[in-house]
Amino acid sequence: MDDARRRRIRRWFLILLWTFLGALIVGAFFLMAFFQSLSPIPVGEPGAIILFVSLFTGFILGVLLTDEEIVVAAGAGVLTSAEAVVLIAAFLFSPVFAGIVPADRAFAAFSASQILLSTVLLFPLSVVGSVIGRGIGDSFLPSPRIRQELEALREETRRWHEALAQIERRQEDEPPETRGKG
Amino acid sequence: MHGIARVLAVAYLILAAFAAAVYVQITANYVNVAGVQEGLERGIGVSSVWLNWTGNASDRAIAVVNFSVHNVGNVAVLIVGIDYEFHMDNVYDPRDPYHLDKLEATRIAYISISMTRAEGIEVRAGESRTVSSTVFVVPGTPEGDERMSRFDRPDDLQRYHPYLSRARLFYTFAAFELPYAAVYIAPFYETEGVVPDG
Repeated sequence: MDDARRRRIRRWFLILLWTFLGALIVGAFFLMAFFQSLSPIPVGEPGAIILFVSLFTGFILGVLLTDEEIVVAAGAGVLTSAEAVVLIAAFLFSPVFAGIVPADRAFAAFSASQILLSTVLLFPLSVVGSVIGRGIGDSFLPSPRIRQELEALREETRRWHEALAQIERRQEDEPPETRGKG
Repeated sequence: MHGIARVLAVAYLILAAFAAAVYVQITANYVNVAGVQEGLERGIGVSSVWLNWTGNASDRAIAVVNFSVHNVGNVAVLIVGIDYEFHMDNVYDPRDPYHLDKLEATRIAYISISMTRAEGIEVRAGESRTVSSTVFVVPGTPEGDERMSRFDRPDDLQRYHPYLSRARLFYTFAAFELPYAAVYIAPFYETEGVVPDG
């Protein structure tokens, strides 16, 4: 396996790992907030918990994906929400999977409404959080690689400016009658 | 990765590990609660009814109804209430005991017992318990005499046939602050008849 391929696989593995861990955090806190009586740890106001945890998780995800394009960070936010919804659905249907409860219409309707609610609540918050995190990470917490790339870009731009300035100076030094003549 | 981003990554990992543990626990709790809710309906019934009474219509009669509760689930439940209507069948009335008019004519009392969580009767996972309830029939007042006349309906063998309708049991969970739930108890009819003891 060549080095570039290995780097690409590592990059995608990390993106998927961060999104899955984010989904675990968002999904678990969503369930803790909405099913407080079943939660081993009491949490506060459900709305505040969901708002804060989704934004915060998205934000950290964005910071962790500072090396990636902003589109990737936004996509990771969407993926995190989607995975969180899958985890919430798995929780809601866990009695059915365990063979305890038959999957009747009432149960499905209750579960579907909860899944819909979680989807509506989580998607925008995670995406906004990840985009903000990516932006802040890019501005204040760039990785050494990005810093090097930026420095190289600045150096190249500086060289271009200097080259342009030299050309301009040369043109100014030439007598006016020779300007514009092949 | 920037140094602060590395710290955030470690915090993120720790938070995710904590979230995973909570997720597993909350899912196990949900499955256990659902298991109790499904299993309790099959595990509840009236085990016996006996009469503590002399057989004399001028004496006070006590009927004791024993409910058996078998918790087939994996978490403890708290019995916090029982509702039922207590009837004494008049075997000379040919109508079905659960015929609406006959239910009206044979009703002795509507019993409703409710308890707080602290007073609730705990039935641990896999355990069986008997929950008793008493019905008093006290003659001496017009209402009491009317009840006693409905109560004192033996068959030819001097046996009584009490039965229950609209029986419900209310429960919650010892470990979880869930709202009270109700489970309907199958109708009970004492076919063989009870001889008063007292």
